[in-house]
Amino acid sequence: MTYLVIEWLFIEDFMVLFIVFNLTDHLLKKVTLKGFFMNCFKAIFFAFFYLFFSELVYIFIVVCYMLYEIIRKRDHKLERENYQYLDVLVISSTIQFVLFSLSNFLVNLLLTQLKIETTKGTLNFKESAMQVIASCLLDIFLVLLLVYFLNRSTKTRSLGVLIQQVNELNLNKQAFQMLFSFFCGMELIIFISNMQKITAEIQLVLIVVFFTIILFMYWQVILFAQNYAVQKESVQQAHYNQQISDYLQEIKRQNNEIRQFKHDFNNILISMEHYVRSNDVSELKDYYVELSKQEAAMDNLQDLRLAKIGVIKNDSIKSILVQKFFQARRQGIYLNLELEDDSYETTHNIVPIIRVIGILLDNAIEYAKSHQLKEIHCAFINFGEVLEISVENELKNDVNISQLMTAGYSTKKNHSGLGLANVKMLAQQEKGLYLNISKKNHHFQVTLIINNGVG
Amino acid sequence: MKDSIFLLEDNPIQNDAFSEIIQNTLLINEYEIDFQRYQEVPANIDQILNNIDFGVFYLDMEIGEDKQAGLNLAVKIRNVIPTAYIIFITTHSELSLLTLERKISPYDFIVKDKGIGEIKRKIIEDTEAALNAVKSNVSQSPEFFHYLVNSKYYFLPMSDLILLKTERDNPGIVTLISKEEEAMFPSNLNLIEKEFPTLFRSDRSYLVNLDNMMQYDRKNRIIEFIQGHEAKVSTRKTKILLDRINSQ
Repeated sequence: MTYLVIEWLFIEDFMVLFIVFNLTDHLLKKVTLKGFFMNCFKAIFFAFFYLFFSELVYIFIVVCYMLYEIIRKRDHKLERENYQYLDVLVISSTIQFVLFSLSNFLVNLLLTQLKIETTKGTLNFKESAMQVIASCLLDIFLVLLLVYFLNRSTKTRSLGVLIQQVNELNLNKQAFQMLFSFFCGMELIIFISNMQKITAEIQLVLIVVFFTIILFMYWQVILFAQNYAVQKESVQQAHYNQQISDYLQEIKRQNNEIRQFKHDFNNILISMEHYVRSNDVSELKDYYVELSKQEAAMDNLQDLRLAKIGVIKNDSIKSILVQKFFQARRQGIYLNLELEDDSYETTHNIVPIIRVIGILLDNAIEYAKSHQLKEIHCAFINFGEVLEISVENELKNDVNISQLMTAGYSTKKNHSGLGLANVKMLAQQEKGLYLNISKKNHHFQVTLIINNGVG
Repeated sequence: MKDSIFLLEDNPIQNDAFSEIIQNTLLINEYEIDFQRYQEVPANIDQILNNIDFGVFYLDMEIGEDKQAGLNLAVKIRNVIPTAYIIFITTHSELSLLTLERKISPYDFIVKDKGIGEIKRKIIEDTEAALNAVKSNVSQSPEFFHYLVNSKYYFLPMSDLILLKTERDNPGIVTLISKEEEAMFPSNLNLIEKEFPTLFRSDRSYLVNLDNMMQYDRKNRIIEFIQGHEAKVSTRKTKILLDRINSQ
């Protein structure tokens, strides 16, 4: 084992931690100048502990982060993004640990070969300097190389995509538990082996074994996440396909109606021509009445507006709107979709939005049914980065909005009354989602405001 | 900068008819307010709007061939005069009403098909309501409460506002409760308190409009408002509250 002078040991520890923090930020794609300087301070702070606890400092860092976040937050709970940070921190620590050990080992080997230093014993200041600087440079080189390869690998397997996928599937906490237990195990073995002064070669073997296991785990997790995602998507796709086929049936039916209408209309015109030529007023009057009746029939061709649904770019939102449209139709209610712009899209986490739209439309349909309303409205409006989704129905009786928002309250018989309270909760749990409820002008209107710049 | 009533209607006969109704209303109520009317959107509309402080706008939806004329002008007006009263006069019953409502928050729709009697009634009603809102400055509070979400501007008459509150498990979000609405938006009570000093900060989580207070429960330190809403009062604020109640 080689021992460095304490100053250079501190610098080495600082560099190692500094690289870990920056690598974490890079993998999370959250590199900022402020973050860079914060990482400097964090690295200096924890480097002191590194001197005393050596490798156990990583566990110490994780615990410190968790405590800091728990104390900082009002509800004293860790959220998805905290676990995501921890996941990537542990991954970075593992990567750095392996790479730095490798660098150290190689540099040591090299310097010994070049007879610049001895294999055992304490190095002097100059030798320490060379060892640390060379190791750090080699380490940075290896880290950059690794990052380059990680980015280059095919889209579906790159680390960045995996991190995102795990986040979307809400598996951050589980991933952290798995990674951290493994990491602790590894740390403990290294720590004990250091204490027992096990030779560097055996340590290297241990490192290689761990590294292989990590790669295996990584591969397994990718497969799992991919599988899970594909499954979800095919279920959604099947659902969507059913909707589209329902919709196409409707279009066919309407085309027939229009064709029929045109046919009848033409017949009437042709017949009228005869009576116009012969100036027969009474017959013309009859045909006028006939035509007016036809006009009334045209009013029933309402559904053509559903064709505009293509302007919504999020497939899942399209899907649920089509579904609710037909659900309403089956109850004899027309869901009037107002889509005035050319394009509607949100980059926000889509799942809570879908749930909110579903509940709001269910509520509106339910109310319309029990109060004999013929139609309900749903409008999408763009305001720069803000997207509003508004559901409205006429109000036949007065309601108390605050009461509606408390769980357990319902105007429907045999209903759990969770609807609107659930909507409020869903909006509260997400950054960038806000709710407006209004009962102006005898219309009940609930609007979901999505700030696309956030979340 | 002045207050103004503004009419846009391309049909000259209807333009004359509506103008007469509006001017009579102003006369009867002795309002001294500028009235301007146009048969098409004037070229210097931006300048005109910039000179208006508060406005009541009667807009026909279709001007000549342009079906969107009224709507486009309304969006412009909303941007320059966020608290303007916009009233659409239209023959279309097939409008995207909900979209209009959210985009422009028009004060009213007047449907031409219903006949001149109904149109007259509505114009009178709307004009009086709009001008009363401006005149009745109760306790010198601002006429309108407003807030922003990103770049969209939301507003409501101050007299409608009951209270604003925050909830512990939902930090950074303010809940607004008014007579006919409940809304959530990102903000904090300290900022709002600074911007609207006539509101009363009864507690760390409550900023209230005392004009809508019904009574004060001294024992439990709770303010009771219309429609059954309540707000807590912290011990520090009870004296200030009592002073304010007594001075009214």
